Amino acid sequence: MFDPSSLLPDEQRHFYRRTSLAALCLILVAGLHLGRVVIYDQTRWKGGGFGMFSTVDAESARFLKIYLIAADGNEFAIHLPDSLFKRGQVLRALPDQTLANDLAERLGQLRFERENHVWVESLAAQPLPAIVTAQDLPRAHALTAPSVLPLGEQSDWEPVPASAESTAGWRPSQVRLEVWRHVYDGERKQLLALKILETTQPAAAFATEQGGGERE
Amino acid sequence: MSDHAPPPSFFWARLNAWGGFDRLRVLPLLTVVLLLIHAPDVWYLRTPLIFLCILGVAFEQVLRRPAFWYVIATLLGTTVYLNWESSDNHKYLFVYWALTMCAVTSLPREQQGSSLAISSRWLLALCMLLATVWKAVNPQYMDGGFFEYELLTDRRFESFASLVTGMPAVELHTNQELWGLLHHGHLRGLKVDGVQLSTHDGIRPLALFLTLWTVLIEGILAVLYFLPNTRRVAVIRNTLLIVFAATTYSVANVRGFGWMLMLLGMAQSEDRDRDFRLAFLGGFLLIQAYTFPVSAISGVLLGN
Repeated sequence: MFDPSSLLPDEQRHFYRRTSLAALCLILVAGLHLGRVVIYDQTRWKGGGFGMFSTVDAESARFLKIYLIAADGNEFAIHLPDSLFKRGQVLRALPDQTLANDLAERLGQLRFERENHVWVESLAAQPLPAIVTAQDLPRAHALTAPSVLPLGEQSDWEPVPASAESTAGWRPSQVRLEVWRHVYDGERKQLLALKILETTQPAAAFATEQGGGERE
Repeated sequence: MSDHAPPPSFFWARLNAWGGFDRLRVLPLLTVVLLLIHAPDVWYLRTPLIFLCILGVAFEQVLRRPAFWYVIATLLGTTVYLNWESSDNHKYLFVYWALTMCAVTSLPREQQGSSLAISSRWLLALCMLLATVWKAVNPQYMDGGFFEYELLTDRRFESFASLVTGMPAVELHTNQELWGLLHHGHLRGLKVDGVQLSTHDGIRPLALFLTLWTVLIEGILAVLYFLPNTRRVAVIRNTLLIVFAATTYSVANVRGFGWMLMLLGMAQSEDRDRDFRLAFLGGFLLIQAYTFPVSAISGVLLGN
């Protein structure tokens, strides 16, 4: 069997330089990941540090709440549109104020379709307890699903910004974006939601000029 | 020298003979299989990667060129860089493996086997060490809280948790619904600050067992793969790595990671330890076998 110690010193250095290349890259990336976890609250699950299955605080334990705010102050919760899914994923893995502002601004450039507000009334009629149990699930399921849909979506490849000439859909006057995480209380066997950060951004300027928050 | 003594039994002799394949010929081909199955989703990286893999299979000598592995490492590295927020850790390990192949194939032929073994051992040791440290420094992991949470809410653990503890699957399913309500309840106009999970007597002891088992086996593997390469150490660590794969991936089926570990295990098995090459290959197949929908098939066969 080949023994590296039988090589001349120069050849031996060459051999070990090549052999250690991958391990050195691993250490470098893992070190970078550690720094980002400590400084920026990046999840341990993503980033190359091999911290998966070590904490509840995975990117899947973090979630976004997005609200469109109309001119009259009404708020409508929406799903993150598919075209912004990747940015949402980044924000969950690395909750950062600048990234949150950017995502909210992008949401403010979209147009939306609002079909009904039944669920808003449902909230007032049937508030749930602060800690929801299995017995409350049927009441939660009875509520109507959201019906605010994005129309003027953008894609990273082919941006289609909403324009002042566009007449389709509804434009909010502001967008509020909240980043949350859940933590596990092992004693009470409860999952508790904690807000990490939030931002409120005005919708695109043209929307305000044209009386944003109104159906056109 | 006892380190090089041939195994006495007929079985081990056969195992030795079958495991005597050339790692530098088999491993690149297995890597190509792995890359084809786990090719990145993004088309601009997936397409060139698949082209390269096809070339590698058609013209096998290409697989011995450092340039081939350099391009593969660059493509995989770019994928991870551009999609870090969704890249699991074994995707990083693919990159390091491609770099290893690049470095190994750039060395003179007689040095390649040894370089491959050393590099693979360091990768195994480092990823086990990091996995152990992240777990050990988290009090909620060490007190069993993490696995308790996983068993109660993670769909991937549902069958296992239900089978071992007897907790009804419907209760676990309800926990998953409550998890979803916490994340998406605001879309229905609900204000949900927290949810109460259902549990079962067997969950806590199982969580504690999984916690200790995982952190211990990963920690021991990290230490053993850093130790000097004697036959005795090799037998213990290789056996333990196969046990780790056989147990871990039967519960949490992260096929890509399991396969990568088996590939690294095979790569670090030098001629002296060639009996383990087949065992790692078996591990490779076992991890795939775990993906069989056994309960669904038995349900169909039994007419349920």
